[in-house]
Amino acid sequence: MKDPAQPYRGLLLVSSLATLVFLVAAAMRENYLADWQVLQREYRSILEAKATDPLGREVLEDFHIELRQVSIPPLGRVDRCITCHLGIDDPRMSDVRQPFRTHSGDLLKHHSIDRFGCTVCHLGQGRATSYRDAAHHPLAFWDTPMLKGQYLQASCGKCHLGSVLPQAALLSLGRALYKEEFACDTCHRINDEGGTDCPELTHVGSKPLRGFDFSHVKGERTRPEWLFEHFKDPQAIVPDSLMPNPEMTDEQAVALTVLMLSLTDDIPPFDYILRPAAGVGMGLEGTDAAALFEGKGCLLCHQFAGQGGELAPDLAKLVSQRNADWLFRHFKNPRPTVPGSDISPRQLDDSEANELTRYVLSVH
Amino acid sequence: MADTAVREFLHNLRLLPQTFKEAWLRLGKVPESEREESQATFHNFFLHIHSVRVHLRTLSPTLTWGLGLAATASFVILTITGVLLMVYYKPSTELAYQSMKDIHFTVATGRFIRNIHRWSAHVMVVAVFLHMARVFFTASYKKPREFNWLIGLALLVTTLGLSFTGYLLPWDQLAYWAITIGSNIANSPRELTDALGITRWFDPGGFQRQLLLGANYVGEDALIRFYVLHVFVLPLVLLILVGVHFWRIRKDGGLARPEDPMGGPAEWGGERRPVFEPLATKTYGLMAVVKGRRATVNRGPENTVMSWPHLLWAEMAVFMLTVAVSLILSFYFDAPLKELANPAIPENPAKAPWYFLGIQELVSYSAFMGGLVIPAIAVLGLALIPFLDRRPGGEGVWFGTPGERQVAWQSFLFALAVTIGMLTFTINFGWLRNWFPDIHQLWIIFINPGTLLVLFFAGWSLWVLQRRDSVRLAAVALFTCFLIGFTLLTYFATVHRGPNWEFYWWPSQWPVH
Repeated sequence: MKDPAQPYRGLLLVSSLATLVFLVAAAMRENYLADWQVLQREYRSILEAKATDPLGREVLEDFHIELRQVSIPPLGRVDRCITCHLGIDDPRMSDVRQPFRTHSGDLLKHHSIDRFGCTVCHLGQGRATSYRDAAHHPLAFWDTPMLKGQYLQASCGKCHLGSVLPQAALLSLGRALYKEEFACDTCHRINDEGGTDCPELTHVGSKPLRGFDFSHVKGERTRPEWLFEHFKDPQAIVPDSLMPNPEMTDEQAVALTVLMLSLTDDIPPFDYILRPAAGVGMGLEGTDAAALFEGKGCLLCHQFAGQGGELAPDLAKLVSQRNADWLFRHFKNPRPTVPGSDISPRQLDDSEANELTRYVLSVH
Repeated sequence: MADTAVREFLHNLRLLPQTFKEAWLRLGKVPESEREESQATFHNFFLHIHSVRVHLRTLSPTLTWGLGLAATASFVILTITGVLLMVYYKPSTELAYQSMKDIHFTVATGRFIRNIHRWSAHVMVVAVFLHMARVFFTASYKKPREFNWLIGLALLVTTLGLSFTGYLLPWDQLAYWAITIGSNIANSPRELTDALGITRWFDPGGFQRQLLLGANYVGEDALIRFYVLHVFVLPLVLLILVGVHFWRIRKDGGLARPEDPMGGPAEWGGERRPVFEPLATKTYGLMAVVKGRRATVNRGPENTVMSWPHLLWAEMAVFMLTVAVSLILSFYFDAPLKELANPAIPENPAKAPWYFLGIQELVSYSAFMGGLVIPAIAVLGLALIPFLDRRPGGEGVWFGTPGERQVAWQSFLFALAVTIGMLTFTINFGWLRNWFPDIHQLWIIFINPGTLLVLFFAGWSLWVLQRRDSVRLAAVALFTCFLIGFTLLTYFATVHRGPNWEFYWWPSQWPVH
């Protein structure tokens, strides 16, 4: 009889070797050959080639191969795009290949990376550290792939509310078309404005991809493509739709798509938002917000900063639970923001509502 | 004097490596004689659970296929990778998903570690199921091992509990909706109480679900409950049960095996190993009494070899094989992570973890029967096997009772035909609700494809009992049916059930959205 443990020794040797090989391979794959590490090594050689002056040499010396990220708590974002897009703020990098090239235009001048990050405009998956996972293209199980080309203008609309933006011509055109040319608001609703007979559009730009029926869409299965094809021919995408065919030009359809994409539930905090300067010049400049607050009778029912009535919720509590956008809409027209309440509207215009929002946020 | 102490100190310092090794390893060298080999086993905290000698059958790969050990090995892997994941994972609905993303994208080999954790969990569940089948078909639950079969059953349930609680933690769509389905299964007694109209006064289903979730929905409370169960309570329970399981193996006389023929000692390597021969001048005390009918006194070692090193080689090989399998799977196949959990967008189809999909298929017929009664009958039936089948014989041999292989084949074909037939019928013709839309729900609770399957299986087993006049063969019939039914339903619900739990040949035919 032979040694009963003999086959086990062979098995032990083989499986231990397999374990060793795969452990080493995994460690290599994730710690040395990861996309971003390969790219950073390439970028270092670019830096070496460009280190011709003392400043360039200093930049090279400070360069280490490591993960880079911008963390912006107010926007709820951690963006690691700069792990590969290493040259976006380096003007010398205008002639190198992507992902190293300098950011186009002068957008970074007004939107510093430290305050805005990347994905608030470009979308995609900011936490990712590989090309595929960053959702440069539609990605399974990630709902917001990057916006491309002209559709990128939609992101301007998150903060630049109502104003005409020369850099975002399509967005401005879309806004004009929505109200004037096609009067979409007879039927559709955005926030508290517009008809109620048709689907609400307030957050249509961040409606989950699963909520779209792509079965009739000819192009890519993306939000912009669905919206564009739908504007061109509503019944082709939603067969039983009651929407009249608006017979748009391609440009108009793109502009309205941009507008729709700008209507997301990813609303930046108050101090990022630029509101339309509506009340300006109507004698309201310099209004003392506190006086306005008292004059509008809020304290009859609401508690705030230790005074006021007890009929309505403590405003300080509301301020801590709601964002600026909600407060603004509440001051403009309170009832739709608090379903079932019998609060009476106070006829505030945009600038007054703005003023009050600023006030309660600052006192709080 | 001082001079001597200094010299002694230096001398001791020089000998330090040697003395430390002796203190640590006790023997201080590789054992050379059988005496030293036995000391290596019983002087070691980790090894002393082994007996000093082990029977050759125990080492035969085709007896056990190393399944119990593979399950243990995956538990060790899961513990190690689990602790590593705990360092980064944050059990809160706000942060859980983000911490999963960070584990994927920034933790060094984080995704790989998570993959290993996921795959070892699957390996463990599969190994535990197969181990149970192995123990059953080798009749290894028979006296004196009845209680250990029960411990094994408790380990199966604990393993499923561990896997299920871990499912929620990533807090993605997959997790959220799988647990929603799972907690609805806990809620299933409501179908009966609703049908009887007594839910307002007596609601065990709602209570069960609330106990599980800490709320009426899957939220923060459920997440923290599942986390505590997953990382502390259930591993502790499992560890204790595994301890008892191993200890009972030892106390019940090792792995079940048939009686050895009378004979001399084992021979291998061309060398006859010495037999322990008691000296006439010496009395030998009995150190421990092991249950069993084999008197080993004066019979010498029967086909046994030293545990050190033979059993150790076998154990290490199975352990490393399990590690290698988990690693290779993890290297090529990523663990899934879907979108962030969103209560507003149900997954369609929402499916429970795969090992509960057979139950989910039954639940689609009747929640009460499929979610509670039939699983309870299955567990109770499994638990009773060793107490109802008490005739000795066939222990430690695959299909060891006469006629067993034949009954197993017949039951396999019977269960295959009945289960496929029942599924085909249900899909083509519907069920009572389709034919009599106004029928009382109680009819469906008691007459549905699930309960009929159970009746068919029980009937078949009773027929075998009467015809073959053997409790063991009736048990083989029932267990085989249970195994085939479980496997087929699980496969069917995994592959052929699509949106709205409709039948599809392949997932690729699901309606595009």
